[in-house]
Parts: sequence; C-alpha cells; structure tokens
Amino acid sequence: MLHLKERTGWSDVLVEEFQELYELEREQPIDYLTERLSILLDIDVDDEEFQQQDVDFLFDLINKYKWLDSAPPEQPKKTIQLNGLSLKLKPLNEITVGEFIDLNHLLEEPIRNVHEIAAILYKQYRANEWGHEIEEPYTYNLKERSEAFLELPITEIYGLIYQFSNWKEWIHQQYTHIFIDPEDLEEDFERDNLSEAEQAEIERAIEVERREAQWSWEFLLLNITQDRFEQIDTVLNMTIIFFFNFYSVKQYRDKKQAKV
Amino acid sequence: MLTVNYNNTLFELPSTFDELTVEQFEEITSIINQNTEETEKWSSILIYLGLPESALNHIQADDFIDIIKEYTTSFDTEAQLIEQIEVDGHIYEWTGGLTIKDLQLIEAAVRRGRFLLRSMAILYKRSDLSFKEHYEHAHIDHKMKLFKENQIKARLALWPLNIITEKVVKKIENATS
Repeated sequence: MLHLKERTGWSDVLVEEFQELYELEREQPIDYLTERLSILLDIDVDDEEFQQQDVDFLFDLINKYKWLDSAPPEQPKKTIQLNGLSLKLKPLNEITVGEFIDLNHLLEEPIRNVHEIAAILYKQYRANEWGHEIEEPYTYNLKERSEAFLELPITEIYGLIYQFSNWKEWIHQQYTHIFIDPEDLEEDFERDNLSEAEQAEIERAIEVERREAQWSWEFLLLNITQDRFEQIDTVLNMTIIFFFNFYSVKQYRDKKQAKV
Repeated sequence: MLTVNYNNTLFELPSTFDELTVEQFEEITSIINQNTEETEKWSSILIYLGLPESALNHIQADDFIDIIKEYTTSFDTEAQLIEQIEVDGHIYEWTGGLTIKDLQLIEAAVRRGRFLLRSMAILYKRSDLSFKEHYEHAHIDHKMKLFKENQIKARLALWPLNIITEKVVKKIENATS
C-alpha cells in the first residue's frame, strides 16, 4: 500500500522542495511529472509498488496536483518566525549598497537563491535606548540563516523575487544616467546606410553594454572612494538610494569641474 | 501482397499489416516521416520492400502512381488486442494495461524515434519473470531481437500503437497543457 503525503497547495511546499521541483529536467514529460510527484508526495520513483501502478493512477495524481503549474503567491510575508528568531522584511528603500550588490548577484538565479535573498531581506530589529527601532548589522552568518529559510513554506518568501526584481527595475530606470557617460558609447561608424533591423540590433548591443557598465560595482566603489580601500566598508553600509543620489551629485560636480 | 511486374519477374511486396513485420512497418513509417519529396519517399519504400532499384528507372510515372495508390489503399487498420504471443518457446502476455514503468520506458523509446518494437518488448511480458527482471534493459533488448528475428507481424503492434497514441499521448498533452 503506497503512503502518499497529502498536499493541498503551495503553502504545504517547503522552499527546498520548491527549488527541487524547479530544477527538474522538463524534456520528458512523464519523467518530469513523475519526479515532481515523487518530491511532493515522498514517493520513491524506483519503488516497484509505485512503478507497477496503472498509468491512470499516475494521471489522477497529476490532475489532483495541477496547482503545481501555477506560481505561488507574489506577496511575501512581512514578518517571519525562523528558528526562534523574529524577523521582519526590510523596507527596500533601506537596502544598503553591500546588500544590493549581493542581491543583484543572487537574482541571476532567483529561485535557486531565494533562501539567500530572504536571508538578506529579513532582519531582526530591536529598540535602542531612544526607543527607535534598529536593525541587526549585516554581519550574521548568511549561510546558516539562509539554510534555515529552506525549511519554510515557499509561500512565505516566494514573492521576494517579484518584489525585489520590480524594485531593482525601478532603480535601473531612476539612476541609469549616473553610471554611464553616453559619449563613451557613441558609435564610431555611419548608421545612415543601415536598415531599421540593423539599427535596432546596434541599439540593443549598446543597451547591453550600458547595463554592464552600470553594474560594474568594483569600478563604482573605487571611483567613489577615490581608490581608498579602507573607505569601502563605509560605502557598503550606506543605503543604496543615498549612494545613488550621492554618486549623481559627484558625477555632476566632476563633469562641471572638467569643463572648467 | 502487392505484385509488381518488372522485366517479366513478379515482385511481391508485403502490403498489409498481416504481411509486414513490425520492423518493416517502423522503417516505412520512418521513411514517410522524413522531410523529403513524396516520390523519393515512395521510391525508398518500394526499394526497402524488395523492388530492385533498377525497376524504378523503367516504371512509367503513371504506373508508379498506381502502385502507390494500390499500396496505400490496401491497409486495413483494424486493431485487436492479442493477449498472448509465443516466441521462441516462451509465452509473452499483455492484458492491455499500462504501468507507470511501462509508460516511462515507452516515453524514452518514443523520444529516441523507433519505439514500436521496443514498446512491444516492454508491454509483452513473460509471466515467469520478476518485475525487475522484466525491465532489465538487456532483457528488453534481447526480446526486441527475438521479436525481430521471429518476424512479429505489424498487426500485433496496432493495439499497442493505438494505446500509446490515443491514451497516453493525449493524457500527457492534457497533463502538460
């Protein structure tokens, strides 16, 4: 008799299980759907009892768990209890440069890294002697904290991916100008003879170059600290918004001085 | 049999599911699915079935079309479940059901292209073997070889083919849509 775990929706699926589901090869539908059920229902796919079942049993299960084809909710929880810690979602505008750099990197593979993204964005807070809420410093063991997030239901943190991606996109739009001197990207060739498609292709290539230049963090940090390495930690602890604003001003001033 | 007279020699080409072997049926299907001109496809099929290549250089276009017409209309696709087949002194049985393991192996075979003979080797089982023994790759390969050598007829493959295309493929499409 097969013993199958009961799952009613995404809230019954842990972060690490969600990641396992996401990593599955999808090339062979039956293999994929079977593996998916094995993760979800704790079935050993090599178990003879399971393999001897009629395919209708498999298709009934596939239909029962059709909700797996939809995405978990897009709203992350504001507060989370994690191994006795009470954590709160950090307001995105308060993200520091150091956190932003790490998140930016982790967002390259958002689902594989969602537990690490959560470990950065959920913090402990306490009141100081003035009664103001202060946040724990970004010095805790990120690996240990992120591993604890693997045991949470995916519904608690999945929305972070959307929230942070959207916010990052907004940041891109707001501060595009500060990282790049458009003159550096001006083409040194005649474009008039090119077709619309070729021009569009060039625009795309320039945009990629522009973005890459924008997010070259080492360059930015050295630039803003004027190569003073000991100052880098200070910059990493600034809020990213402050940093971008400050850098905008610096860029403006540098350009003005250069003209003089 | 379809009889083609060439150079005063009669060539008999298997043209029904009771005459074609599963292997021949798969080869013909594979040629039909190739991305080539119809004339080239049918030339390849007729040569594969035993017509000398030189014959094609002498057959008139109208005759060639008639041969193809006659060939394609000679198929009666009535499928029937054959629950037992005897090959090389062993009885192989299939009651028409499909296990999850069958499905997994058939899916892999379908992806590789020629799946019919392998699917039959997966579905028809010897009752004296254990579940594990039956699904050993070496055993399935051996069974395919036996079915091929014993020229299992394509008629036997129609029921499994219907099950795979109608039941399984549609259910997979539904499950993944």
